[in-house]
Order: sequence, then structure tokens, then C-alpha cells
Amino acid sequence: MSDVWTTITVLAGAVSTLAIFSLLYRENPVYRFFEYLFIGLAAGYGLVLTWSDVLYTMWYIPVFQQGAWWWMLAFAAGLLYYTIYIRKLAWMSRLLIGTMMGLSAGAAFQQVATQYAPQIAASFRPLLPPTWLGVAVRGDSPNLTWQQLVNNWVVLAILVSVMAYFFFSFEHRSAVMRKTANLGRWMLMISFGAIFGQTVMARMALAVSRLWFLLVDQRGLAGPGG
Amino acid sequence: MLQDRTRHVLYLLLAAAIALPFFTGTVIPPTVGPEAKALYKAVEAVPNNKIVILSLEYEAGTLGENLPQTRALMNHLMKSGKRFAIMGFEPIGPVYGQIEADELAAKWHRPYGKYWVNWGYRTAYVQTLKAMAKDVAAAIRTDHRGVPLSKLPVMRGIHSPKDVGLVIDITPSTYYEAWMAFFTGPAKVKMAVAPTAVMVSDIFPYLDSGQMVGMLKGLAGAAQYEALVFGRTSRERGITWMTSVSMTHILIIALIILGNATEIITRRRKAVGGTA
Amino acid sequence: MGAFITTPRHGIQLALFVLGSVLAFALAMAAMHALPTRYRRWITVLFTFVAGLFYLAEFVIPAGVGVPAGSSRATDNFLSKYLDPVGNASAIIFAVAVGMGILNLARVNGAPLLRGRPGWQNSLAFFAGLIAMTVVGLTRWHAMLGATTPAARRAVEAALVGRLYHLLFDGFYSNLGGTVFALLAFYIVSASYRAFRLRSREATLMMVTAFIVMLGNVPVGPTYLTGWIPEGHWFSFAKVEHVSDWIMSVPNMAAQRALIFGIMMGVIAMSLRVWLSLERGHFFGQED
Repeated sequence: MSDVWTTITVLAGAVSTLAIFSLLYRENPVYRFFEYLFIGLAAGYGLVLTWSDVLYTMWYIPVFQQGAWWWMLAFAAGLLYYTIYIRKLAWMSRLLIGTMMGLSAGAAFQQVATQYAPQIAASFRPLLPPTWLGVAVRGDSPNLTWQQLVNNWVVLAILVSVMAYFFFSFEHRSAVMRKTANLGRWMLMISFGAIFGQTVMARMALAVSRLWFLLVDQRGLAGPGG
Repeated sequence: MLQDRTRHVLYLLLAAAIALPFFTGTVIPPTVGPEAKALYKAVEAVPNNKIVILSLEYEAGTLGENLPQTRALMNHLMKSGKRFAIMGFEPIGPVYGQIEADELAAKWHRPYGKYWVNWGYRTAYVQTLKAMAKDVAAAIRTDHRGVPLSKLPVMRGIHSPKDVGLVIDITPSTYYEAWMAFFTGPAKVKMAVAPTAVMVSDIFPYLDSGQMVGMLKGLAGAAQYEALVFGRTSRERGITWMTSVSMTHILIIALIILGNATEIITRRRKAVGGTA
Repeated sequence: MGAFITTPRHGIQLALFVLGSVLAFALAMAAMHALPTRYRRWITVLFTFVAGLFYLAEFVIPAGVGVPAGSSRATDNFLSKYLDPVGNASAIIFAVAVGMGILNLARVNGAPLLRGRPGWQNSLAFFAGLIAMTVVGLTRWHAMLGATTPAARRAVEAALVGRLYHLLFDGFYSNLGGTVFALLAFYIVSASYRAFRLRSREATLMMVTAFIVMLGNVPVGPTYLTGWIPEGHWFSFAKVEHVSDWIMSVPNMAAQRALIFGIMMGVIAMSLRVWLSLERGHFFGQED
């Protein structure tokens, strides 16, 4: 019996895959049908997991099994979102959304301090060698190699030039500013090329996994990575 | 019509480039990069009394990259007997993580609840991470089935962020920023990331500043990690698939060069024809 | 009073407290609704400000302030103990909001289905998927709740509900999701031949960089292109994987860091505007 179900499941996977790939030939109703089916399945699965992993463990069990009745207030507050459908009460949904956005905005200042501020600190790198012609120049970074020194200068030049490129608040009148911003534009091309190179690999990996399922190993019913 | 035919021929070429290594059995061993090596060392360095958090935020569309990464990391964690917890701020990640972990747990004899736990899907990631930064166990409270964490041996001694040895975010999105901002940064916990290749470029500033200790660069990173765990000649999924990815890269480079060469020749012919 | 509120309740008391809390909440909202319209915006502004102030204050107030000396939570201040309840409440609130997404999708797909408009079959597919996955998923979850041993869980998976769940999830959902994104690979190949034209020096620089990064990423580059250069040789810097690594970790890193600084400015500006309710727009500017 399990073999029958396994066969049905594998066939369903193959049919689904080929239905989506049919778009490569041309737009067709089969592709559309399966696309909408996917959206429905995804929505349903999101609903199931929201209940099982979040609401059941964090609200239902505490309230109805452990007697922590106060979490009912959180549930009631969440229902305020739905007042958006009632014109007269819609302001309550904005009250809730505003509160949630306020929490995120307050947390964002911490994000600046803990995520972005270390980037500023990391930008200050040694630009002079530890010794020059036998004379000690700097006490820290004694093991700084010349390759690292060159890289530090390259990083500084690119950082300053790209930042100059993004200064849109004033006109780039001086030749120094214009040339620096122009250099920034060229350096951004290197970054974009790197992003493109990585993106190609990302997309190809997904296609490889699908063709692996179709042509080689359908046993991986844990998912399309199988 | 001609354009459609050209398009279809190109698609078939891609399919052939991908499928050829499947049938010839050719596998080109990967070269391990510094980021994957650094992550491997960071996992090895996690003490046995600490837990590793695998945050799985992927969805069905990125399984081709994120699942091999998850598998490679779980193989390493289970092989070396490190405790780990899986969770996610997207619904599907912990589900797939559970499936992979169940399969690998049978292979490595690492039962659920003793070596690993699934904390499940969580919403409100900012608020959850801020709560975890004070007390991990109190913020999570139960596993994905509603079992209190205090009843699971794997969670013994795990309370504050100090008890977390490493956080690895396997993600196609920017949840790693929230992890850095609200958990690993304030609590000074080591962090690594296994993003899809699209996002790899964005991570390098954090590697440089030391906010991240390592990275798996998409499927290539997964293959490199598998090489570290099993050896370069193993036939794990990432290593096998990267050979097909190699073929596709060669195809794309060739097509870009061919397309540009064709245009240059066409333009020159037009110019000559115009002046003739 | 504190103990009265925070003591867990059971049985009839629980039911009364649950109903009472919902009633009290509804009364509070009704009282706010009864206020003149001009006060509603200020109430929203106040709630937004206090919410933001809580997280900001908790972060900036030094550790130990308002915490008894010798406390085990040395990194906390008097606001830290509220982080956990706020986090839990937020998680519940966001979870309740998921239903809105479902409602909107149902509204959009319901109209073509009910009125027999073209494409109604697609809307039917949406509802079939939604209902099937919800019913089967919840039924399986409920069955798994009672399955406390591996043998019991295997029994659930072998039952009809388990089989149906795997058909929907592993058979349809996983494969459909993966394949939708895999289409992009084919479009990239098509664009490579038909659209990627190097018409400027900047585009050429971009493409050359992309070629190096692509070849450095995949095994074929280091193995066959520059594999003949021995590691440790003075020329080994020219190995494609080393060049690719250098491009990613030096020029790309510097450019990305500059972008991060710009993003940082934007985050500060936007957060201040939202926190202080200075933002304008369709949502923020609406008045009843």
C-alpha cells in the first residue's frame, strides 16, 4: 500500500514539475492551474503552521491548559487587525499597526548600534607599515604584510569613492569630487559583476535540483532538494 | 517564431548541460574556500556544554541551495556530537529541517531531544530575538510539539545566550541582520550564515568586521563543507550538483561571448554594406 | 492586586477571567472609539511613541539600573523583565494577523469563482489547495499531538491522513515551489545569448568580474583553468579561486560597506519618522 502512495506522490511531483516547466514552451492554462494550486497550498500550510507552532504553543496551551488567562488580551489585540474591513472601526487597526511599527522603530536604533556601528569601526584599518627601512612606524599590527597594506589602501579608496558617488544632497561641482564619484561608479561595476556571478550560481542550483528529481532520484520525498 | 525556436534551443542546451554529468557520473571535487573553512573551524570549536542554533528561514523555492547547506551542517553537528536546535522565522524552514534531521539522526544515532531539538516556527522575529537575548529558554519555552524545553535533555544547562556557542542562519533573506542586531551582537555570541548565492556579496563586510565567523556561499559552500566533513571525493548532494552547475556556468559564459561576437559581426557587416 | 491578576485560573474561574478580559478589552476600545475623532490620531501617536520608547529605553538604560544588587541578571535594567512578555504578545498578535492574508487571497479568488469569470478554474485550484492543505494539515497535526512515541508517529504517517499530507506537501507543494524559482535559470540562459550586450567599458568591467567570480565559484575553474599553478608558488595569486576571493573580500566588500552606510542613514531617518509619527502617506495620513 505504501508503494502505491509513494508512486502517487512521486507522480504528483513529476506532473507538478513538468506543469511549471511547460511555461518555458509558452503560456498555457496547465501552468496557471498549478500556479494557483501552489498559492492555495502555501496559504493553507502557512495557516496550519501558524496555528501549530505559534498560536497553539504560545496562546492556547498557556491560556486553556495552564490558566494564564492574560494572554487572551494579546489575542484580542491581534483581532484589531480585522477592523480594517469595517470602515467605522478601521482606525483601531491603525492603532495596532502603529504600535507594532513603533516597537520595530525603537528596536531599529539598537540595530544601528549593534549591526552597523561595528562596520564604521572596521573601516579604520592600518595604512602605514609597522616598520619602514628598519625604523618602527607603528606599534600595533606588527604582523601586517605588504599585501594586507595594499588591500587596506584599496578598501579605503573604494569606500570613499563609492560613498562620494552616493552623495546626492549637493552638486558635484569640484573636479576632485566628480572624479572620485566616477571612480566610485566603476568600483560599483565590480561589485555588480560579483553579484551577477553569484546570482547565476543561485539560479542554476535550483534548476539542477529540479532536473535531479526528474531524471535521477525521486526518492527524496523530503522535498525537492532530495 | 525564430525567436521562440532560439529560446527553446537555449533551454534544451541548459537542460543538457545540467543532465550530462548525471549520466556520465562525472564529479569534479570542489576547492574549499576560506569562508567554509572558517565556519567548519567555528563549529568544531563549539564546546560540548553549549548549543548551536540553526535558524532555517528558507522556503520551497530555495531548497536547491539551502537544503544541501542544512544537510552538510547537520551531518557535521551530528558526526561531532554537538547539540543543536533548529528554528525559523518562516514556516517551512523548521519543517524541512525536521525531516532532514530525522533522517540523519537515524544515520548518526542522535535521537531527538537528547542531541537536537526543533523549536519550530516563530513570528515577531525582532521581539522574539530581543527576548532570547535575555533568556533563551524562557523566550522559546516549548519545542514545536508543545513539549516544555525543561523536559528535554538537550536543553539541560541552556538558559542565557552565553550557553549558545554559535548561531548559523540558513536563509534566502535578511534575517541574519536581525540576528546580528538583536541577539548575537548584544549578547556577543558567534554567528555564521549560509545564504543563497544571491546574497553572498552582502555578507562580506560582516565577515571583514568579525561580526560573522564564516559563511557557506550557496550550493558551492555546501559542496565545500561536504568536502570538509566527508572528503573531496565523496558523492554528497552538493558536490554532485556542483559539477552540473560548472557546466551551466561554462554554457552561460560561452553564450554571452557568442551573443556579443554575433552582434559585433552583424554590426560590421551592416557598416560594410552601408559604405559599399 | 498583582497576585490576583497574575495567578493562573482553572475551570469556571478561567472561563470567567477569559470572558472578562475580552470584555474589558472591548470596553476599553469602545471607550476610545467614543472619544471625539480628533483624538484618535493622538492615541495612535501615543501608542506608537510608547512602544518605540520601551525598546529604545531598554537598550540605552545601563545594566543594573532598577535591578536589585546582586541579581543574577547582571545585564538587565528595570525594563528588561518585560521583554519576554512583549515578545510573546507580539508573536501572538502577528500570528493572528496571518488570517488577513488568507482572507485577502480568498476575496481575490472568490470573485471569479462565484461569478464564473474567465480563469475561474484557477480560483478553484486555489481554494482546493487551501482547503485540502488546511484540513489535512490540521488533522495530521491533531493526530500527532497524541502520538508521543516514534512508533505512534509512524502509525499516523502510515494512516490515510499522513499519506494525504505527504501527497500534498512532498508531492505538490515542495515540487511546485522549487520549480517556479528554477524557471529563472532558463531565463538567464536565454538572456545571456540575446540580451547581455557589452556596449560600454563599465559593462565590460562588470562582465569580466562576473566571469572571474563565476569560474572561481565552481570546481571546473580551479581544477582545469588554473589548477596547473601549484599552491604556494609566487604566481598562485593568479589562481582563479584566489582572484575571485580577492574580488569578493576586497573591492566588493568595500563597495557593499559603503552601501551599508547609506542604508544605516536611511534606517535612522525612517525609524525616527515612524517612531515620532512624522511619516506622511496613505496609511499615516488617514483620518476618519
